[in-house]
Amino acid sequence: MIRRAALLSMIVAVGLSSSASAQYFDDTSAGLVDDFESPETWAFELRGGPYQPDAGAAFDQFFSDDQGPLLALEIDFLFLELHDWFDVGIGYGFGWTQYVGFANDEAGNRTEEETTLTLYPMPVMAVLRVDALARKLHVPILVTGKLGADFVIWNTGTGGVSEATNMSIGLRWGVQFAFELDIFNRRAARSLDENWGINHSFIFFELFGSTASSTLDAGPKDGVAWAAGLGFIL
Amino acid sequence: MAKLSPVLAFAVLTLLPAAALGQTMTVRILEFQNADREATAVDLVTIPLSAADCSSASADLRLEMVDSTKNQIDIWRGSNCNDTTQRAGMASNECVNFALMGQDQIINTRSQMDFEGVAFAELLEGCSLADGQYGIWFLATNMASSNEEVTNYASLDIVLDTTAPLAPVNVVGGRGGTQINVTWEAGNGVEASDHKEYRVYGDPSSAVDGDSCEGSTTVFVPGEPTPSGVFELSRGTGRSATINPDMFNIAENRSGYVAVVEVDQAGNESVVSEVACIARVPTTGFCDAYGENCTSCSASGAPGLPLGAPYGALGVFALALLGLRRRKSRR
Repeated sequence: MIRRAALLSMIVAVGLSSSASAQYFDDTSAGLVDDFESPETWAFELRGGPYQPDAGAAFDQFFSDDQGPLLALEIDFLFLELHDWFDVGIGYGFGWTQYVGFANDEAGNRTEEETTLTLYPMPVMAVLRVDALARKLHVPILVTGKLGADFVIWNTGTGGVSEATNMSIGLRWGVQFAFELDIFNRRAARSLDENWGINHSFIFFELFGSTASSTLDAGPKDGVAWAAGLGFIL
Repeated sequence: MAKLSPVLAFAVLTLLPAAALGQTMTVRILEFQNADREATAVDLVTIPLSAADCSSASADLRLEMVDSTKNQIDIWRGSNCNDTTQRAGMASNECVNFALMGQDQIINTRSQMDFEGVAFAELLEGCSLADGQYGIWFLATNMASSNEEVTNYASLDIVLDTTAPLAPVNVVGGRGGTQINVTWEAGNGVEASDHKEYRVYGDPSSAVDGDSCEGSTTVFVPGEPTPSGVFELSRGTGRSATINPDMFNIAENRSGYVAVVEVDQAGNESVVSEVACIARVPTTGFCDAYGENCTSCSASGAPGLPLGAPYGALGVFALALLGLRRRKSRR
């Protein structure tokens, strides 16, 4: 029964995908959609996902059940493009996540006093966005690689009193797989471009990692973390 | 003629007495004195008058659009006291006439009259009245305690609520450093229908060494009003509070007593609850557990970069944007 349901889901998904693509190509080939596109200079991403830093036993002692989330935005300046193959740019991100637990007394018993850890990751990265699949083969997938420096400002306190604020730095990397939403309504996508300069909108899933650990080990607990979100190319 | 009309209307409105136009007198509270309520909370129906405010507070009242052809302001307490029959029925206590001590109630051609510092206890018979709504009627009449027909009058409605909520029960104090939880339940298990908030008080004189309040004495007397010398630690609508023991001088490794009261919309405060012991103990948070790397960048020898580094990186990013020519990709 479960196998049948899975098979049915797959058929429906493939059917929807192919009908959406068919609509897009029909519109294009019929001349209903022209090739107008404004310059692509910026990318803007909003993202969120579970995140735990690799801060050892101390983190597990107080925040083991707290998955964040890590909320972030990123803006990329795309200064180089190989037409219909890829964009190259530089990106800057700003994120926030906070973990809240309860302090212990001397006997190790939990009190009602809160202890917190707050992270503000601010990566600066080189960005390579490959759009050949979408432009050449009409498969609405973008693949993006990111590599740069991670600056993670962190603060911790107990009982409402800040105990330490510092920054960890390290290497930051990311691999993003994005699905372009333009194919669902090509006319609306074109309208967005003409009126707002938004060339493409997409949803994405990103795997990323960080070695920011010069003070607090702020990189992801298992070496890699994920985030999902919504992005725009302007 | 059309140009003359506004002038004529102005002359009529200005020169004719209020009563001749059938205008209604108004009364309003300008300011409270000695009241717990906010100066802006002038609606005494929505926010009733508490027992404490009734006995101690006073207000400045202003009458406007008074019929200046009448002789005096006649003051009554009751329902519909503008109605002659209500005032005539004094035997049934529908309306009670009284005068304001030290206030000039003679109109003397004034269309606006101020009564300053009118005690609510005077308006409400020494606050001995039962809880409920009372109207204070100001009538423009020709004689005191008049039974004449009146057309120019105003009334001020006051809801008197002197019934205090029940004291909270099952108060439990916690342990902690600078955040200690106190929890409780409503008296009889149900909050007052006009519940406003709970207040937690701490007794600094009860502080003793140790974490159990053993050997401590307190000025709190359960079932009695809040004593003087205690500190208000928290107020909120819920049945728990997080308090800071610093607020009533409880040092580390010491303990002391707290108590809770419920307050209704009028501001009536219940008697104090049973006391609960809170203990301030050393606590261990994330920073203590993480170890020596949990230091601020300003600390001597602390690792890490200045916190301005990411902002510097942002600056470099911005400069890069300025330096790089925007490339067009119109297809």
